[in-house]
Amino acid sequence: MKLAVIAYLLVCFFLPVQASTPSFEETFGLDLFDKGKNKVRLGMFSNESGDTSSWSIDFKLNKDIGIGQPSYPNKDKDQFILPTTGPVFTMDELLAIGQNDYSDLSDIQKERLFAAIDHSVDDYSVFHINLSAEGLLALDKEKNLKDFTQFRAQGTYKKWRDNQYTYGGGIFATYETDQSNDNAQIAYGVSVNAQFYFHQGKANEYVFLKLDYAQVDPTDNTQRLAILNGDKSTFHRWEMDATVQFQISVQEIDKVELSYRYFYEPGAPTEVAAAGMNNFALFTAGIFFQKGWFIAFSDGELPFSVQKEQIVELGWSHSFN
Amino acid sequence: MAYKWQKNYACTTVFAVFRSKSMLDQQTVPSAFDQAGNTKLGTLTYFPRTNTDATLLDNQATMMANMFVNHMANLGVINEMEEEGTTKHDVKQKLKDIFKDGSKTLKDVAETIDKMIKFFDEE
Repeated sequence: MKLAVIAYLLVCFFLPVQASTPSFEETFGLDLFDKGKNKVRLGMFSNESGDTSSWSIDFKLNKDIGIGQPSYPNKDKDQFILPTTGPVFTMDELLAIGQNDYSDLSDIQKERLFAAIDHSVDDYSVFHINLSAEGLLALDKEKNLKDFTQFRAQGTYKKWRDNQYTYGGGIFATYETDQSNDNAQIAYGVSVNAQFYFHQGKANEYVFLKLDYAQVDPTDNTQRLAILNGDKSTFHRWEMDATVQFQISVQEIDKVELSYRYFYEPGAPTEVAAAGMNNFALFTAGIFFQKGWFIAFSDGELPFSVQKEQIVELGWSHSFN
Repeated sequence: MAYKWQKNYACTTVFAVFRSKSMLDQQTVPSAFDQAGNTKLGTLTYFPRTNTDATLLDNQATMMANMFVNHMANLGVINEMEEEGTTKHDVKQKLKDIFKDGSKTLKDVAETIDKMIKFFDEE
């Protein structure tokens, strides 16, 4: 009953953002390739009114190369301390712990279970290079609905502090294109990021912030060149990314995610500003339920989006046995 | 031979650490142990769903790997390491790669730690 009320409220919440057709388009798909962090997926994507939809290939490829070893200041704490006698918990007791039932545990076991973690073991810095490619290629070339294709290489320094917060930064170069490859550009610059966890040692609630500053070469951006009469001058661009994830005290809802990305070209030529190409923003929100259902909503556009769209996705994820 | 999700120390430890509210608190893992092994990591609370940023995912996987190993070490279920000298960091690095991949399952996590760690139910 409670779930039905929540579902009704969610429908009411999302209806105003829809245009004339009050129906959600279900998103579903099939993995074509899935190995490690590399994935290629065929799926159906639709806009909020359901009048534009297309089979699309969603791809994500990633390679991380660590440079040297992380500098661990607490090497002694990095060793496992093994019990001299037998195990502290039986397998049945571990199953009960997994079901959050601690009633049959002894005081010594509870002490062990709730022992304060020494978070200083996870205080280190690391440098790595990351190569990634991601995008959404609509099979119908005129219907790229959500994102733009991007190849990115970056070198990053990361400082990890006591499982409470992390920050880092580095340099990057990207190749960005729209789905039809009619417009493409290269951007290179610096990037900084930080992430703060609401509770030390808990991954479920956080704020993530990222700021990029890039010089962009628009040589292959035919849309921009047409507006500027062929002027191929490089320009600068800011990108801001803010994401927050939190949980609420409604048992059926696992978590809420909110994400906002904003691109801004300072001092853009009048023609670019008039065409609305000097800033782009994309807001995405998702409500994820315990049983696997989710509702995701996105509004806005990224550079090279074909048109400004509001997309609502209603889905269900399940791990089949 | 394919690794089996069963009642051994590796699998029950993964189940306890992932589901317990006092540890990783991933409540989308089914409460029934038998069904939990096939749970995909991409459906868990920690896994970012609306933002695909590589740095964000790396941070989340790092936090999960750090805390999984820290909790497991506290539980006192490890008899010895398969390879002498294996550190917590070594196990964390292996798990971090697993935790970044949403298509991996709890069974894959159990298999990974079982290869590196000798639990009390193993010869």
